[in-house]
Amino acid sequence: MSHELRTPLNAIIGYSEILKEDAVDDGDTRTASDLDKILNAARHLLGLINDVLDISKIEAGKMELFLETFELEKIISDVVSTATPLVSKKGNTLKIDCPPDIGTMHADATKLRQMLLNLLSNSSKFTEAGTITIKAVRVPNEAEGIIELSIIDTGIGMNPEQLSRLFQAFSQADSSTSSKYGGTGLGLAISKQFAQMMKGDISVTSTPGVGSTFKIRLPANVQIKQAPVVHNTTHKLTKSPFPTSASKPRILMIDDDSEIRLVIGELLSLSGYDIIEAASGAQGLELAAKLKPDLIILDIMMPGMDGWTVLKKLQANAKLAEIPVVVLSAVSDTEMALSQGAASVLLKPVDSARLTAEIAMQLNPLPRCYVLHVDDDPDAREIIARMLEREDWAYHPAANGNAALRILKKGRPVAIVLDLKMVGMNGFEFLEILGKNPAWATIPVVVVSSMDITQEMGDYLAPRTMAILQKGRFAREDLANLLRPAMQTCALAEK
Amino acid sequence: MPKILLVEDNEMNRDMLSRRLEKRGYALTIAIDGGQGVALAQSTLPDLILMDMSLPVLDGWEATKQLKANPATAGIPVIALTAHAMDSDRQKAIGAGCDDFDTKPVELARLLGKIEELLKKFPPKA
Repeated sequence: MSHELRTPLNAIIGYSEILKEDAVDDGDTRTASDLDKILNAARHLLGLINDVLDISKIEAGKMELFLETFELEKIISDVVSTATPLVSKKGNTLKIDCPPDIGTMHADATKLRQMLLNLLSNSSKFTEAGTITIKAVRVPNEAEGIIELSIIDTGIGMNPEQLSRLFQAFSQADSSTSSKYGGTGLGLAISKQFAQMMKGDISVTSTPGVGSTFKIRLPANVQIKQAPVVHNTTHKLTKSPFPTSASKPRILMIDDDSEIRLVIGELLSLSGYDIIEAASGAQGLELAAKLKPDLIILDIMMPGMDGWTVLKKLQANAKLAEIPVVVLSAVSDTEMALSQGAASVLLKPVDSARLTAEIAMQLNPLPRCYVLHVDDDPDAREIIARMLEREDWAYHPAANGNAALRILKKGRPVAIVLDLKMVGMNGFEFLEILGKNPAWATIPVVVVSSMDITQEMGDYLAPRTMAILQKGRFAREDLANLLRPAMQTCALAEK
Repeated sequence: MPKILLVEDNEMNRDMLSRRLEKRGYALTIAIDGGQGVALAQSTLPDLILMDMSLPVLDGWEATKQLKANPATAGIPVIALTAHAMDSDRQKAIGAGCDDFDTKPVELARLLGKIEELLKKFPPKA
């Protein structure tokens, strides 16, 4: 919906700006001033559309919070620099009253910024040649701190009757107000809703002729009720694959949320791992380089250095790229994570059985005779797994070429079953690398793909692979017959 | 005259932005999808790329990844343009290798600032 409404309006605004620039260049002030009127009206309409969309999103319960930790002072100075032209339009002065040690808060920064801008824009409409002050205070109370942000103006003020209707959508203090002062009357209603979503509120005090004070009160550490981090905390845990080893496998967990670190840390200790915690991306990278963990669990949405950046830096370092990274995040961009080199992706809240099974699978020592199966589709991996289990052959799955290379380096498989179309490193790129390494070039490869194989692809694949099977169009026996000679040779050699 | 490659599938956005940038002394090359964007970046080696993210054929994230993986084009700064101002969009763009990020509709003064800043950081080769 939003796109359909905004696109034509953006064209109107954009072309009016071009025409105005031309008119100014030509010295045609009359046309320029007419175009200014069109631009102002169009921008007003765009603001109105944005506000209406926000309101309908709030009313539908679809407005979400994106919480992060940020420097309060930085948000305030951002807002002030954006609002200064607006405030000074009517000869007002903008003052900041904020202690230098105001520190950080944890909330939705984008919405807080929008709230402050709404309140500043409101105050500057009703104040002339006066002062507007933005004041920040940290109020300590028994449990958690409270942040109060006040916008204080020396404007016309409001009477009690006007105050009572102030935060209602589509209702400015006076019906004539909007024609005289502009504005949609929605900004205040939206701001109040935002504050309440963050378990705070906005209040106002006002004296006609003296001025108004709008006060935003928010918890310094906004929490939303989240789904539990982990389901079934202690049932069906897969234990470490090295139960008797003196030194437990070491797992580095990078997550800014201390509760998640606590819950998952306990779970993994129970399963027989040694846990190291990092509360930020930067700390995680430092610990990874220093301690060389056997596996990394990585969160994506973190303040400062986010998980994507951590992943990129890990993959760029030859020594660290070997460590399998399990992305554990509420952000569901599996493709992106795999293409950046993650070994696997799990979504929060995670099932404890799945998490421990995944970790054990990643750390499992490779059997001497095993089939490596490379496919990004979990269903396809399941099908091949069942086929190989029927033959009693060991196998190891990999979600794409990058993950497969990591496993290859640990131990040479007897054969490789390879999909072609995968996010991250695809089958062709993988074959290219395989062929360049003399130790790997001789591993038999069976392609199992749903791709239409063109003549050109066929010519490329023929010398590099043993056979090409079309997904869903071959029997278990077809695959087993192709792999059997190599598996038997390996099994005999082992005896 | 610095060369800018604009990759944008919407005709009006393309027209508006290219005209305004040309007026300010930039030489524009236009691509209308991600695949063409990658091809033109390789053949024309622009000084900077403005990349819309939701593109047909190859989206902006994938196109940027390919450009950054190719030594011939990896050094060209890329500014991502998206319709959303969400922090996760910014992170996704930076994750794909974009050097900066701006939201649509374009606010020309702000975008020009980002272009100039990146051209200072990655000076055009003669």
